[in-house]
Amino acid sequence: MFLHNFTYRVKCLLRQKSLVFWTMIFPIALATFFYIALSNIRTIDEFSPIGVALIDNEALSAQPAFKETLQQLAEGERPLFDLTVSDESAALEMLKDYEISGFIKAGVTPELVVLGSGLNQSILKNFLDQYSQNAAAITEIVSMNPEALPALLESLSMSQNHVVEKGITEKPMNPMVIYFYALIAMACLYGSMYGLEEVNRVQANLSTKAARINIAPVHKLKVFTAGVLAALLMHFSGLLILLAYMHFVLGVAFGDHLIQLLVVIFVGSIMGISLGTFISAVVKKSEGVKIAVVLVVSMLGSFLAGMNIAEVKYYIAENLPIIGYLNPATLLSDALYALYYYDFSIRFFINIAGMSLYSLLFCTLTYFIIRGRKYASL
Amino acid sequence: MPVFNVSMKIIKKNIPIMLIYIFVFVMVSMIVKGITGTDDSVSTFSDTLVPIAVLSEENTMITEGLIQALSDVATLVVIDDTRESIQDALFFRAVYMVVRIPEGYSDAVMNGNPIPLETTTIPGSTESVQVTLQMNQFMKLAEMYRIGTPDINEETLVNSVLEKLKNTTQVTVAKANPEAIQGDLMPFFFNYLAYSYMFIMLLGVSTIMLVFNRKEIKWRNACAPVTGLSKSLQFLLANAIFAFCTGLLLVILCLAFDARNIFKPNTLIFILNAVVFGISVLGLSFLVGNLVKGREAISAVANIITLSSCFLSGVFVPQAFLAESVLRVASFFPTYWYVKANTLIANLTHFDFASLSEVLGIFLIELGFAAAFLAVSLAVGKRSSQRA
Amino acid sequence: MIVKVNQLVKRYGDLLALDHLSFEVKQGEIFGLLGPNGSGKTTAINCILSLLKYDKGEITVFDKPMKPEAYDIKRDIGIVMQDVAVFDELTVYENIDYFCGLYVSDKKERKALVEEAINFVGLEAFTKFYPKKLSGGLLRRLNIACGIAHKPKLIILDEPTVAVDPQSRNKILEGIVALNKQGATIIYTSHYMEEVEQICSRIMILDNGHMIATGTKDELKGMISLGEKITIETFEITASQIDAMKALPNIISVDEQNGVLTIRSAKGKNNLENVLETLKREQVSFGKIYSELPTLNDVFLEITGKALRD
Repeated sequence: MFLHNFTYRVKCLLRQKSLVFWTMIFPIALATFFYIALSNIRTIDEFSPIGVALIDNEALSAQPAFKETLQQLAEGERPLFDLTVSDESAALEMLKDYEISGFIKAGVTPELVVLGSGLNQSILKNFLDQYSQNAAAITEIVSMNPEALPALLESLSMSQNHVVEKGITEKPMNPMVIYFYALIAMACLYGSMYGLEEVNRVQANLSTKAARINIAPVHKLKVFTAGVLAALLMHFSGLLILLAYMHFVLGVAFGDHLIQLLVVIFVGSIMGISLGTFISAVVKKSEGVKIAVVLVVSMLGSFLAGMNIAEVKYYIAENLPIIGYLNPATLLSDALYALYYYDFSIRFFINIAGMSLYSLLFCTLTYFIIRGRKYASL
Repeated sequence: MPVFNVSMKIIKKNIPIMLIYIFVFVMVSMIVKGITGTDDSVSTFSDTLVPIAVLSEENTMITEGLIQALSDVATLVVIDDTRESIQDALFFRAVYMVVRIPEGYSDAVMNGNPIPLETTTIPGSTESVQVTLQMNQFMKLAEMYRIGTPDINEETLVNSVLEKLKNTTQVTVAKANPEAIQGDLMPFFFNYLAYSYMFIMLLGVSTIMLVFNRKEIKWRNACAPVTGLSKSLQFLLANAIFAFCTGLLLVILCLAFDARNIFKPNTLIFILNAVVFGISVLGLSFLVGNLVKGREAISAVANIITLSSCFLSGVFVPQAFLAESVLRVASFFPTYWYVKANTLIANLTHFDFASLSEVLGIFLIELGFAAAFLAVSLAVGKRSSQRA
Repeated sequence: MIVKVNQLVKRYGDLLALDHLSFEVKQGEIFGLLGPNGSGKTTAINCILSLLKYDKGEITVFDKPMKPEAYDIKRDIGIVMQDVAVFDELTVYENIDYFCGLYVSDKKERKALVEEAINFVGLEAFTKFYPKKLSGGLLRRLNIACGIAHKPKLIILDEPTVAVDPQSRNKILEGIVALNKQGATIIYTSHYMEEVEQICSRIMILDNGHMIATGTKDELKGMISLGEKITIETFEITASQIDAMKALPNIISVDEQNGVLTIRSAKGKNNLENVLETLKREQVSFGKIYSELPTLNDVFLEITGKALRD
């Protein structure tokens, strides 16, 4: 009996084009778009050179070293500045049109002109500060110890880096994965469509097929369980295909923990399907409205998990952490992130626990709503 | 005007679903606004401080001096010295950099053999550049005092360095050009508008067309004593009103979210661009509506077309970051030209014909798309009606 | 007794859908449930099947109380719903096999049953077809096959011929009679009185949740006073001539509309003869004259004062 229902459910689901589209084709297409759109960006917080203009005046000609330093900083592989040398009125015009962050007037003490406060402006100021600080230091030291001047100048000209950057892990890090992880979360939640379908199939007040099943000599929850397991098989396989496509075709990294990765996807597909059964059972409206609810929950969830704009995830985590913990999509993408970014961590288990809790909650609530076998109206 | 009335009724029935997408637009806009913040022009300048954490393995006058120097450019956040909490703090942007002062650091500074400070950062962030600049400066000044004044003790060295760090540059705050678009919000909202607009139009227009293209209804209509032209015009009018209302709502939202820029000439051109884009999307929607069969397919097709054209055209990721080949493909979508025009408009400060000519050229391209879509959809519609 | 319904009450909010309904279905009958749309036929069926909650009353099937978990009862019931209830994603064969599989686990046995059902409804040529490719009539036949493949002892058919072409309808009706001959008891609901008259051995007429009458069709017709309906298409008729008709014995009513005379007379002999004589005597010139026996519609009309069809 179980096998009979199970195999027929798999057959039905395989032939339901819209289900296959939403749970598999659509995420794969979206992943491809992500890949195309993001392949040229290495990091989200990419530092872009600060636009700055240097006023070409007499004072500047008197300080060739100053100009040279700035020019050096505007060259190379990762330049600090995007430098233009111009006259003051042109620089002012550029500034007013927000084309540059500020311009510098050389002088005994250089002057910085900006439109307002900001990190770029602060960096410009900090850079100029260093000039006067160094000058003040040399003046003070030489006044006490004139012979030190050559050594000082030599030390000054050596731009030494006293800072080493240590990566957070030894692995190469690519923040772009947030997009893909949120997308996987969305695909998992799209499994809700399977859930909708399975509830429709056994609730006699939702479909006539269900009425037929209800009058058969089988407990409807048995039929339902077989259907849900068939849906789980379908959904999980679909997600594995999506995962394989992302990893092998698009080259998205998932860390080295295969088993744990499969656990996330598995629990995620349970969460998605049970969310769907819950929505179907609790929303007493037409099929169209239920699908709209599913789409909004999944889309909004994955948007908040950073699918469209990765910074959203940080913003939520910083400002509204409670939403992050309550959002099933965040839990899932976070679990994936934990596997990739952290080695093994409590974070992973917290997320898995959250997802399991949601699944359990949805299943229990669904059970209490659909366990009735007689209906008030059909 | 029966065709017109029915079209309007179908649109009305589908308003709730479309409102969902308007709602998503509002949500996204609000969050982006929240992230970006509005850097309103002020007449005074103040340093922007970066949140960082300092983990010191020793506690000397030098480390204290360094920390004090860092506090000029950073706000210091206290975190636990565990791998987990460092990763978390960085992950959630609670700090942008964690600086570790290694043991023996102070002695090394005094000996002229400085060991480097270890930092863990969000790679490539602007924030980390600022903090790194300051640390290097502290070390440089310390080194100068060590070289220049032999036998200097820790206390004097730190005090001298901190004293020098107080030298700051004079900053003048200029007034912004009143005609320039301020910040990136306005272009972002208008770019993002393309996504919502396109999706709602595709969904709405093809839903109406699905009803009218049903064989039975088509035949019944064909039998009615109304000329084909009149029917087409009524149909076009209904959809144009739909396009106009949707566009109007979205534009109002865009303006409401960035009220600073409402009264700038650029905004007017942004709106014009949205109108032209709306016309081309209307054409596209007719075409899609003629090709798509079945209610389920509509939302699939609308999603795929909208997302693909938006991703390739730089709605979500700026065009500057997209590969040349991608952009070449994207140029077959009106969305690409719409976004390109927005980028140009955002940078406009002069509004004579010469400055506007490029934008106007793009408008023509978008209208060309509209005409092409319309022509193809008429051809497709005719063929299918004859076959039916 | 196959089905026994006693004092069944079902409310939908303020609407009383079934009002103390009682009836019995005996072994081997084709029991017809006749009534206009909305009279409570389907509600009654769904209560019998334990799909609907009801407010009052008892229902037994095969002399055992009917409950959702009464699997031994359910095993012997087959249902053909008013709406076509099949999976769009499964072929004709797969649909029948699936639903049959809910009753019969043994694969071999099931295969034989499914094939028999396919032959029975005449879908041999369409086993690999998906429901969307079937015409309305064929779809109805598939719907029936899904309900009866497991050879139930009680078959409930709820308006199985709605929107079906006359050919398919005849085939379906013949099939129902054949099933009955094979030993199944049938409950058949319809608002087409001709169908019910044609195949049912016993009939219950429902209106607004009330049972109006029950019995064989002859018993039902015997319940009303109308015995014969005579229609005369005259060329011209005067008021006095009509009065002469009204004066005849046994006459219930005489109505005239555009020269067409409808005479209803009570049961009795020589009704037609009397009318013909009067026509001759009064020198009424007429074209056609015909006499009809009462139909179930007349029964319904006389009891409720309205026609069944509206």
